[in-house]
Amino acid sequence: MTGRFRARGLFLLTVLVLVFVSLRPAPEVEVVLGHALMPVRVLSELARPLGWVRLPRVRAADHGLAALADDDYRRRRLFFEEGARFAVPSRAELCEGRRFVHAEVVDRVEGDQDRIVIELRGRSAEGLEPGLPVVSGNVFVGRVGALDEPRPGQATVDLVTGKDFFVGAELAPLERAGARPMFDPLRLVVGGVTLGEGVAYRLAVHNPSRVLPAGDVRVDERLTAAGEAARLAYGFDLGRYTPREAGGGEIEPLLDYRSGLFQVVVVCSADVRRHAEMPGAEELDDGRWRRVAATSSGDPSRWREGLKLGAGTWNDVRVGAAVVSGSRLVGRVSGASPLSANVSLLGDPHCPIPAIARVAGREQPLVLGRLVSLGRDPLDARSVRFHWDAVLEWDGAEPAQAELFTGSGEPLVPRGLLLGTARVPNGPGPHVLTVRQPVDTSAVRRLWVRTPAPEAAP
Amino acid sequence: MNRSSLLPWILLAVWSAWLHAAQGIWAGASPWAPDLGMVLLVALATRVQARDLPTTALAVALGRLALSVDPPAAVLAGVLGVAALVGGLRTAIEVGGPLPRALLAAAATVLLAAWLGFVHDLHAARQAVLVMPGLSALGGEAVGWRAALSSASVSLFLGPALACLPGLTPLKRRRGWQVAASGR
Repeated sequence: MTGRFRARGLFLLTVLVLVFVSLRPAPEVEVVLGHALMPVRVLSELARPLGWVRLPRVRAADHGLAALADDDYRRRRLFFEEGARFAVPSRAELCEGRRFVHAEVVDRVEGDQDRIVIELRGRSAEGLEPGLPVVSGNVFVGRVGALDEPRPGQATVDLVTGKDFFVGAELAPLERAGARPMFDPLRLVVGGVTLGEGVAYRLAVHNPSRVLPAGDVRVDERLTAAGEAARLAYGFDLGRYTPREAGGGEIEPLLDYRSGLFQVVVVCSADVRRHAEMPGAEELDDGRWRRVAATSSGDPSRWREGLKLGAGTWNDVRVGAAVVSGSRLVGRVSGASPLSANVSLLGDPHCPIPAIARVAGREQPLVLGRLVSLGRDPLDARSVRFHWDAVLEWDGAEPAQAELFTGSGEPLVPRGLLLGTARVPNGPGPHVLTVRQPVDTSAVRRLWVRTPAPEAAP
Repeated sequence: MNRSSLLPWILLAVWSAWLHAAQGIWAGASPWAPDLGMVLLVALATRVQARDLPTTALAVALGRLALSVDPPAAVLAGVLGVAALVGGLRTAIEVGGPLPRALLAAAATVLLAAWLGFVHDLHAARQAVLVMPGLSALGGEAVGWRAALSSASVSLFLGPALACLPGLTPLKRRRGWQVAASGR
């Protein structure tokens, strides 16, 4: 009798431990579980023949995407050209005496959301130095922190949103917008953030020269000892200042610094010499893709849209990696063990995707930032609903048709992968975007997964 | 445990994987897809000896893990938790009859879906991508009653057949009421 009670106690204790591990997952425990459950891979292989039931649907999806491949590739190239064009400033005075080095946001510094990692065009930091301004279009982003870190050809950028970041600025009152104040310029220091309403945040203002009226704020560090870097940063936009009734004020940013930074340029002096900057290699052809086989045909949980892959960490499959078919994003790896991996497809609730849109009738791409999946549309198998914070309102007069692509900023998700089309609403967010795909990508089985750069692989 | 006593558990894990694969395909096509894994677990949990209950649940859970993208610890906790619940109930009441078995299968379906949905939400919150708390649970509620109803129906009509799948007979050593009595 004692033995039976002991066994029951042990069983209940095991359940409680598993509940605890589920609620407070620890990477070490997950690694141990992943290794311990390696034989389970055999079971998924044994169950694979049941997937034949869906073979007609899978074939239709694969052939549908194959038929679109050339057109998808062409639209992807067009998207790149437009993206690069709009990363450089459009105002003529911001181009005088300056040179711009293209860079793409590839990651955030671990544990510090206010520092990003950029990959420089040509993968070379030649002629650049720490402290140089980094901008996106006409808008100031931050300053170069360290060059050739974390890898050669990359650099870290300290964002203006950092709590220890300060940049001198001047304010042009709204009633005199467009005209530079000639006397008694309104000066302030900008850096860090304050919380706005809802999901919004604002740039914080410090040490204003006097009580400030509403107006547009631009970088002006000429009074500091920043020297050449101050000249280069001068005139770039920071946002619109709004005074608070209780005193003080805040700046509404022009960029979504949290999740909407994709293409930037480093500003350097026009006389800086660099070797010819070869445009970056086409990421779909850079050899960092692994063909993978799906070992499941659907998730047992009704509300999830997931797949098991027959490749894992021993095959360089990493959590967060993009899973594609042709130029289209199918999903992202959400978990990986040595011999298998889990993929959250686009219709899996809470699957996050960095996104950018080409809006019909709008020349400049619209940075959407991070979209989070709300699941597949129950009325249309080809449509997926996404939550869009819409931190920044865009200038469209009415909802417009747009083509959505992945943005940058996540190391294993290349930019420019096609997501689908959607009507993008304007006005303050959050919004729900219904993204329609030409093919139900959850049925596609010709899959490739993005693998880490060789030197980054353990 | 010798080779002959290990074989039924291996076969149970294989059957579980097949049933979960069928469930995944069914779930992709209809909201009326039952939780076949839970139906199998309940059917067996009312028949196996009390000391075999954890191993039975583990084998069923392994079958689900082979196909599910849910975290392994959550799946194990959910399936083993359901088994513990059934094990506790059968020491107090007769759960081997058609109606109790159907009710248990329905309850197990809802419980497991709610648990896995909760863990998924928690994981999303930790990654700061939880934009609509309860989204998974809502999804579970919206289709949960249908899944529960179909699980109950399958358990009612096919439960005994699932418990007698080829290779599983050695697990069912005594009749249900005898097991209930032995568990007390």
